[in-house]
Amino acid sequence: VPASPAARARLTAGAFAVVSALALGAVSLQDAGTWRPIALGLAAIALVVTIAGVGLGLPACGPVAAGLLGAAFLSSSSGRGAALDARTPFVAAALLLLAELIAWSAEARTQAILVPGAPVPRLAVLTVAAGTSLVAATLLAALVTIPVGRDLALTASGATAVALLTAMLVGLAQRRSART
Amino acid sequence: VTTRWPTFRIAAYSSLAVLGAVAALVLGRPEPALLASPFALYLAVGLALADERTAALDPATAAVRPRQLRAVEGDVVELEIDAPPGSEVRLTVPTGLSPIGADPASPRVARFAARRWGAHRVGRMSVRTTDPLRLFINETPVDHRDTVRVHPSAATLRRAVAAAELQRRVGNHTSRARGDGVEFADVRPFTRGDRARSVNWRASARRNELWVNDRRPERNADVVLLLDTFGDDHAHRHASLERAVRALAAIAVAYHGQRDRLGLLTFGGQLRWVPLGLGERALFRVVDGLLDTEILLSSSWDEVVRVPIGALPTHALLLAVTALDNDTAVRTLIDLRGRGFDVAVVSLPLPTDALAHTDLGRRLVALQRDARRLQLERLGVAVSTAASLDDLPVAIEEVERCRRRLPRVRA
Repeated sequence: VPASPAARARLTAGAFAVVSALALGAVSLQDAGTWRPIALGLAAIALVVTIAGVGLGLPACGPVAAGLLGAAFLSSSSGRGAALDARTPFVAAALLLLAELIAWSAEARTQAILVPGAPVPRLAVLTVAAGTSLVAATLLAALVTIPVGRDLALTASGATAVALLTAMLVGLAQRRSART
Repeated sequence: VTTRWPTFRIAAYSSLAVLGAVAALVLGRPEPALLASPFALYLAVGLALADERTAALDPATAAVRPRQLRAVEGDVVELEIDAPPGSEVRLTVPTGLSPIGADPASPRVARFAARRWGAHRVGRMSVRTTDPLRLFINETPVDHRDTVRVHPSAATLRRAVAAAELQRRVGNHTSRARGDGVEFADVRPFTRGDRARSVNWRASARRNELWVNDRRPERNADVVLLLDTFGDDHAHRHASLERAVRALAAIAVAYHGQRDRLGLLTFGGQLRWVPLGLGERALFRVVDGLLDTEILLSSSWDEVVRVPIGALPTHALLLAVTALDNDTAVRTLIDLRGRGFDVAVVSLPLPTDALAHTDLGRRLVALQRDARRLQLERLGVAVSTAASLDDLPVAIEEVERCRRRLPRVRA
């Protein structure tokens, strides 16, 4: 019996998600130094969350796994000194990809009938999102390598930027969801 | 009305973005902000696109169309879904249909097995669309209903109860009258107007004068099936209706095979009738009438039903299928018999265990049924009981046997 397109998508996306989680865990554990046990623990929990998300069809497990693997990467990078890790933009894009793959696999488990022929295929959306994320993270990484002294005014401007970002996202989300 | 709500991405991705930015500030390192940047970018782009790309779905652009409007129990019913590409469709299907999985070759067709007879209304669904980055879900309910009529898989009856009076149309019953036909009746002396081919040459040679053969013509009958939907308890009424509809469907098919004219009268929830008709079309109308009975079952009527004279043709056989559990139904049958109609009854009672929990109660139910049965039999109505649908052919035979003993009636 041939598998339905939804079942194929669910299995493929789920398998890629688990592979991505394993790869991100391995990257986090490289040169972890004294932080290795913490990184290992976080990566293991992330892998369990990924498998749970794929197996039980819980799309919200994607961001959780991404957050845990991001924390594992950060804990290991803190042991590597002050220099910016060149792999960070790739890890950042991979985290988004992991979250979306888990969500794709979970959303394909639906009992609903999926009408084929989406205007923009999901694979294309995911590829573009990952590619754009990589470019944006690389640009940001290049920006942060510019030597700028750290003082109170700069920290305050960073905090303002964070507050503005939060306010912008919350405001946009509320405005969009209010329209029915 | 389209309902819209955010997916988990809005809360989760914005949390990750803010957490990363705050961690970068607190730790004084750029990595957390870099790791969170794709989530912030995804949200920003997604929210910008969501405004323009997502529009409320026009319900007129989506529909569910059954590929066939009629099926028999056990058949596969296919529903063709017309919805925007890329959308998710959630169908609301009645309990009589159960999903058996989609055909991978035609994903726009949902397949269901017809599990139970009835007039199943399909067409209710909700169509979900999302924006390209799946930040919001828009759900639009669609309700263009069609009715799929699932006929009961009727048992095969070899014969049905014969009507006392036959009609003038050609049918399968051998009439008692004499005329053109196949069945030999008698010989009689030749009279003016007799056809030459009717002459019985052997009898004529023996008697030395012309004698002719008399034959019996084949005629059909008018039969009105009566469905009793009376009942005190809703659950019991459903259970007895289930059996009665199956029995009447089998009986209707048997009469159709005998080329009789068929009609239907349902009394109980509402008085409804299907006028007499002949052939396949009449059979479908009668079965459709049986299926519609369930839809109208919710209303109640506990007075004696006065069936209008026009609804019941004279000389028609009224064959009722009833559980004999309700006085109103029995009084209605008595009323019809009192008006001179030829009435026969097949009783399909529920087991007494279903109606009473104590031994005394069960005995009481059985006595009440016997009393009602006697009431009918005293008026010359043949009544037979089928404990289950498997006993239906025996019950039909029993009615037939009783009717031979009982005096004939005329409307």
